[in-house]
Amino acid sequence: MTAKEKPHIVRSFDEELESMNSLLVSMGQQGLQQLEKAMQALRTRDAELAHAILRADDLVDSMHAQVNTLTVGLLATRQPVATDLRHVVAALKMATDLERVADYAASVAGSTLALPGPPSEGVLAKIDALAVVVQKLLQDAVQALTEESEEIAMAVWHGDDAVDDAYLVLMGALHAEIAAHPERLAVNSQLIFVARSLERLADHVTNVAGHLIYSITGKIYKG
Amino acid sequence: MDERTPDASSATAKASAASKGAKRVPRDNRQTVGTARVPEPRMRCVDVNVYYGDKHAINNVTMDIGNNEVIAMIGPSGCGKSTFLRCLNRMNDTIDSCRVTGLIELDGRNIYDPKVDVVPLRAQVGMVFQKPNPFPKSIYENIAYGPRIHGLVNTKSEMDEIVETSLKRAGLWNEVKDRLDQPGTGLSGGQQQRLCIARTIAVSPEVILMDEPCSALDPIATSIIEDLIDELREQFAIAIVTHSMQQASRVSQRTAYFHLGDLIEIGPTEQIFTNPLHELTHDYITGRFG
Repeated sequence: MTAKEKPHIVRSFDEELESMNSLLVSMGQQGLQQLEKAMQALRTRDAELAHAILRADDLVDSMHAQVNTLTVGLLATRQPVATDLRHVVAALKMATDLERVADYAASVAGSTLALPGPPSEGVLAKIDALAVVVQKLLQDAVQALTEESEEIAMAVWHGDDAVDDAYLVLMGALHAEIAAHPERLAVNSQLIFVARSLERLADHVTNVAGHLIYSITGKIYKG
Repeated sequence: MDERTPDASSATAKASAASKGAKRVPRDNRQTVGTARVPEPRMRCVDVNVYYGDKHAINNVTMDIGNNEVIAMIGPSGCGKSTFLRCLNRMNDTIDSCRVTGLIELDGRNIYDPKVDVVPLRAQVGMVFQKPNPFPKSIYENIAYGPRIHGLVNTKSEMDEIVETSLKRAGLWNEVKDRLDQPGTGLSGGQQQRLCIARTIAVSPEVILMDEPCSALDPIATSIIEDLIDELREQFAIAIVTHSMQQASRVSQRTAYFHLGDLIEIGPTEQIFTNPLHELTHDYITGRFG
């Protein structure tokens, strides 16, 4: 989040801010990758892939810890103000939300492992529809982070409505199928967890956008 | 589903607020941004210009100093902040080549009116300097000198009371009460600076000007002075020039940023240090190449 500003007189300050930004972008990219793989594992009921996703969550946790250490160090040693202060504080918050993004991708993988049978085609299509919207939102958030783009971040902030719409369609389909096919209750119960994970994941993505807007503009947006 | 509610009341307001926040006033615009005026100010400065011979040192500065506030003046060396501070009690009168134009009022009275006597003015608007400068006299006499020449006391007991009260308000009484007859110059740097503050407040000023009052002090002595400034604010208006932005952010309620003689930005300290409006302020406080 320093690309658009003039460099600091103290160059090592810029290097530390760059490290912080790179870590955040990496966390976002890793979360996106985890989500894509989690959806693939769900579609194909690939237990091995689902286990790999659960194991990979440690990597995001470790990046989260690195951002925490770096930001606390920056606050203590650089005493940042104005845009720098907002960047560091926002980074601390974004890292927490990005860590939760990866957690929810892992939750989808966990639900995949717990599925007692295959989802119906109709429900799977609606889960896919929701996942596409959520993935696009996360992709845009990562782009906004990379480019420090207020415009893209604003679009992500408002993009949660599309997620909510797809979520409601999916939940409607799940309720209808549970009513029509009580024997599929166990499968569809797990899929309700999947739907909930995707919807919550998107909430954290919009939080990231809100923090990024604050970082760039100083205006506070609350989730 | 979480209801996502931004602080602004509508989506349109949200979008416009966000885009406005991203923009800063460009470097070449030297009009003051922010809030220069306050209701019922203690001092009011309007279109103040200062010249040293042909050199135009302060350029059309308009700002107020409010009651019970600490206003910090920051900016790079040579920006005019100390020059401006010295205008507020006519300290620049001592420099032959210096000429001040515009209006500076204390409680609605023009301090540059020819009828104004600068001696009582400098008691009303006291000054604390960068280097502690106690008189080469006893601690007691350092405080007693001002009230005596201004005729503020009639008896020894009244003077004793002023000396004690002033030293107490400056947080120095407990450290010096048993050696009031010893030289003020024998105190530590931080104690000497508090002695100078006690000397300033002994003559019941309305405004205290401080020009880098902690730059010669260690962090502990600095903290004690900063704590004192916060207490003094309850009774006085304080204008402080400082090179330490951390100090400005710690002690002041409003901050004014000067650049090459222009007052670039003035506003609430918290806003200046979290979201400055002007590009020049931003680059200075974040330590970027100007």
